[in-house]
Amino acid sequence: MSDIKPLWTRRRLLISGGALGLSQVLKPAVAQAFNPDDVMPIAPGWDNADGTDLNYRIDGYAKVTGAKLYARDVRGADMAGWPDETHHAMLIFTPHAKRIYKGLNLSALAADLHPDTIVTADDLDKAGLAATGFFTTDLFCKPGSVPLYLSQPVAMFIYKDLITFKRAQAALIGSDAIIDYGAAAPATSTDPYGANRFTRVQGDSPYGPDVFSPVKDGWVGPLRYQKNHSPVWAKEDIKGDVSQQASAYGDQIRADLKDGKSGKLYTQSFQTQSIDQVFMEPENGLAWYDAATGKLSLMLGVQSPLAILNAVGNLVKDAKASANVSEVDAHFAYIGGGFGGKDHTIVPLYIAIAGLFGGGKTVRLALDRFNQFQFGLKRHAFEIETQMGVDPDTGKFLAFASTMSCDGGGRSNFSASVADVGATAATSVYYLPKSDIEVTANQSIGVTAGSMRGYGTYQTMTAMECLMDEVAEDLGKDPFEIRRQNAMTTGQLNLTGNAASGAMRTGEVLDAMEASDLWQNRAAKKAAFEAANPGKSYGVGVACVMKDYGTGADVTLGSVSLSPEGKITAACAAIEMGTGVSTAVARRVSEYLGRNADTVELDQQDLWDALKLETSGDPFGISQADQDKAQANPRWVPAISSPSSASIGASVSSHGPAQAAYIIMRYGLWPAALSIWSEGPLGGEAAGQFLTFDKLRWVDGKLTGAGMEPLPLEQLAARAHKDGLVTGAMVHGFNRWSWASATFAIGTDDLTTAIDALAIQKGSDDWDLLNRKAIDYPPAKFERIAVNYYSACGAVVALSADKISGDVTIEAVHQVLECGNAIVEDLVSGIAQGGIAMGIGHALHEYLPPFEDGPGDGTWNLNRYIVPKAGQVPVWKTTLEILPPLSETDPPKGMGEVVMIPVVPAILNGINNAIGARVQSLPATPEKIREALK
Amino acid sequence: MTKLTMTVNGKDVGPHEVPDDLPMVDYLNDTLGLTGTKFSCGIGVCHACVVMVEQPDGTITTRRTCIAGATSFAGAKVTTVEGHAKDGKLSDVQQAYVDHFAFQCGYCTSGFVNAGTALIERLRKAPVAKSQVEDTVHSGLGDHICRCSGYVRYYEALRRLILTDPTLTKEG
Repeated sequence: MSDIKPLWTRRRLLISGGALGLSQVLKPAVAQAFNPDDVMPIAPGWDNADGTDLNYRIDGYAKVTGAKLYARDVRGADMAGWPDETHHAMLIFTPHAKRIYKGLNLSALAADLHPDTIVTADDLDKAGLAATGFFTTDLFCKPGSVPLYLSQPVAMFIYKDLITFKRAQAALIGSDAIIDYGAAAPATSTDPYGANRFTRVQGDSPYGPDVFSPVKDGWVGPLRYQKNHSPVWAKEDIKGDVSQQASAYGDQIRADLKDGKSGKLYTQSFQTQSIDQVFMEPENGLAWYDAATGKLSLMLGVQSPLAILNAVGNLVKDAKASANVSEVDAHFAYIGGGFGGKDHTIVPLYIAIAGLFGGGKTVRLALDRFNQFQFGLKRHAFEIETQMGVDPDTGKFLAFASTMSCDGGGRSNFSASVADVGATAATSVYYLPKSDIEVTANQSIGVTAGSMRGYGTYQTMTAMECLMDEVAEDLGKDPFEIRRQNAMTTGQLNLTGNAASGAMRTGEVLDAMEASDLWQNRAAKKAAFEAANPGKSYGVGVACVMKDYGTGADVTLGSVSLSPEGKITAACAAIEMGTGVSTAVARRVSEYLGRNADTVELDQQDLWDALKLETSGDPFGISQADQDKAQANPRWVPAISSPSSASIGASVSSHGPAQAAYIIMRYGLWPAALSIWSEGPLGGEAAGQFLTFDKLRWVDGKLTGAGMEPLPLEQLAARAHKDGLVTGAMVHGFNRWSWASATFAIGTDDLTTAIDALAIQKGSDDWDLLNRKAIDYPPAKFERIAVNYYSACGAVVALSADKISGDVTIEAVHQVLECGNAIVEDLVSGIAQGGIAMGIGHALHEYLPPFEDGPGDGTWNLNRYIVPKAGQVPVWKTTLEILPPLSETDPPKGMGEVVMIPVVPAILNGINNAIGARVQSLPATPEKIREALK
Repeated sequence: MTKLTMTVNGKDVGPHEVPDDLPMVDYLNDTLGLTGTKFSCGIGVCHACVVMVEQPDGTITTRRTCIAGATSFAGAKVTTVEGHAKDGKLSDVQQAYVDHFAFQCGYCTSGFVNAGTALIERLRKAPVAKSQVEDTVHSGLGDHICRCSGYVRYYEALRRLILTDPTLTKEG
């Protein structure tokens, strides 16, 4: 029976002399933490009596009883040591970006609703506060300027009284009456946030080496941008530098496509829409600035704690006396949905500002849903123009060229990265011997776009899967046949010229899809449906994708400790987004320790101090020389931590605790077992057997192997403590499309494993930090590999289209997923079901106009932005098939993103199957269906 | 301003001086400190903020607290998500949801708990035919938005709960 207390994470940043260094991050603090025990019930019964299975997710009890878990639940009075009195802040956004902002005019707001404090750009200037680094922007529009984008804040209002605040907030919904504008003015227009060209030409073999590819030759950016901001690529020269070669090869690919030298030419114009994340908890947080001590305390709900902590540090690093922050102490709560939209969000900077101007009180900045639509990070809308050459006889794909752009909105966020990831996923699961993709992440005056589940790949792979169906239809081929014919096989190189990690199992996914009832019996089902529903057309669509997971700089921090009584405490540095990472961690340690962790802690502020980690440079851009030099320091790691996302909870976050559990097993429980089994003058029961570590097995929560007496964990733990064996391990791991590995001396043994920092505990001793004897970091240039970790997912969708109204109803979905070893299958399938619903929304309903009529005007909410409710999801007719792993040693793969993608193109292909016309612009609204039917 | 009293989770609360335009969700969150009732859309669409209200005849209804003023609950018997578990034991609906891994982020869960419970209470007084259970589940939960789960496990949890309690269904 376990005693699980999901804990909030907490981090602290010390700022000295205005300088901010990463090595100063994660210093221990003695400030009182908010004590979740005060409000959170212990979770009884989440796992079975002996800890070898689970009944429900660790945080299930807390969530189903309404415990305080989310930042939105917290007020000053809840925080130990904070002022009880909570004031309330709101941001004032402008819905215009083509007029001069003159200033505020409060006469339009009833006098009794005027704020107690107003914070403007001028106030930030006076206080020396500015957003820099990743978040560089004007936090507030300055009078006399044109707002940078629709929804740019112009001011912050702070109210002492909740009721006044609420009334003012209600009065200002969808209104900018309190803002004075001047003349019309040109909108801000800048060069793109980024652009790249990915060109690959296969050599003699699809397995490499290539003639030319991004991995082999390097990435290519534009020389410059034209006045209209379109990229200028290098002049083609096959013998020139990498950019010139890329142009030469790329232009040739495009010319050959045009001239018919690459088979039959298929062209496609495809558009995806801007989408709101619609996480259920709008962004919010608390801040308190204690001028006497210089401490800025925060309570936030974000996916990227360290990035936010450093951003707040940058905000205040040049602050003047009024905001002379010497320490930032941040608590990070569970989040009520994220989907990427709470990764590198700028809202916490405004929360910090609220605290700094809060007069020493706790200040709460909580966006309402209108605000969230108006200001929250959006999904990038893509424009995609593709040409693909196909051998009309064999159906083999010969060449692929695409020019794509996405709209990043008015503030730089992850747009350049989203564009690159989308581009490098553009051919989905298929092999192309020649490819040339130009991608541009454009600036606009739209609401800022950032990370969102799918991260560019939802957009580009949807286009590809629709093109795939079009080709199959045109060539008279079965959609599965053409997919199998062109699916990448193990070892073949992707668009960037890199092989996927592990076996490609796309063929198995396709087989399972094809065998599904929805596909096998589609003709009979169609006949029956249409007979019963005159006026409606039934169709079935399929799509199969593989989504990369990871970022190229992913970190795992894990710790496992075993008490003398056999209680297991596990910890990892992750934010619980709802995907169940805390549950997965508890389960994953059981692989080595025989049963679930008794306690799971998510990243606590001083948890990792024993590792004394140091870092320098940018893990994405560091040179090989700098990495070689830095890694000589045994404390150095390329990055201390990384953001949480839906697809790295199992694959990355649980890796650290699993490694730590292995080390305890190998150097604690194994020698303890050997000691017990060997007791006796003649060697005990072990005599006569050649016991080796690899023969150990956990059976019903007890350790046995080679016929030895099964030993309970309690007995082993007691012996390990008594004998001073390893009872705790704390690790740091780094992944740049491959895990870093290091060698550590433990006793007389050298352990080489997939971590780069290690501290161990023996018995009840303090942590002993070990110096690595050797280190093998993935080469710096691997950052440019782009992707190699994939999970595959396919969807078969049955739908009906009303031939008069154009309404589309999803009748049934069968999804097939390949995700390695699913740590907790119930969590995996739940995430997949959620992905299907989100995909249905994206395919049919969700849409935001990009500019003046869009969310930046402050009038958008769930009354006009349609998120699928259960009635729009085939709740009772959704089935999921998870492919079994190839073996029990398959790693868990990231699957949180891939599961929402294939349903979208499968719906579009199903619409074509139903009505005989394609919709190439998302979402497929009834209007578009009606138009297609004409 | 109104002197407001009501019963929340079996306890009398108030009197509190409450303005007539204060939404019930804010009264629960900020006056009573009961933050299990969630604010999400603020316009009554998503139903995350739903609580249960016991009518004078003993029937249980649900109300959205983001669009209802606190004073409109004067004298009412209200149950929030915090009021379901007794002495650490989850209610049947809560237990069904956790057993089925129904939710993920959990922010919508309190609304689903209250709606599901109100539905079960309704069925205790008016059982439905077994053939109608799926439609009945949808009638109880269909207005709620969950962005994580796709609803499948919420629905399956409630269906199983209903079908395993013989008092909630009748043949047919």
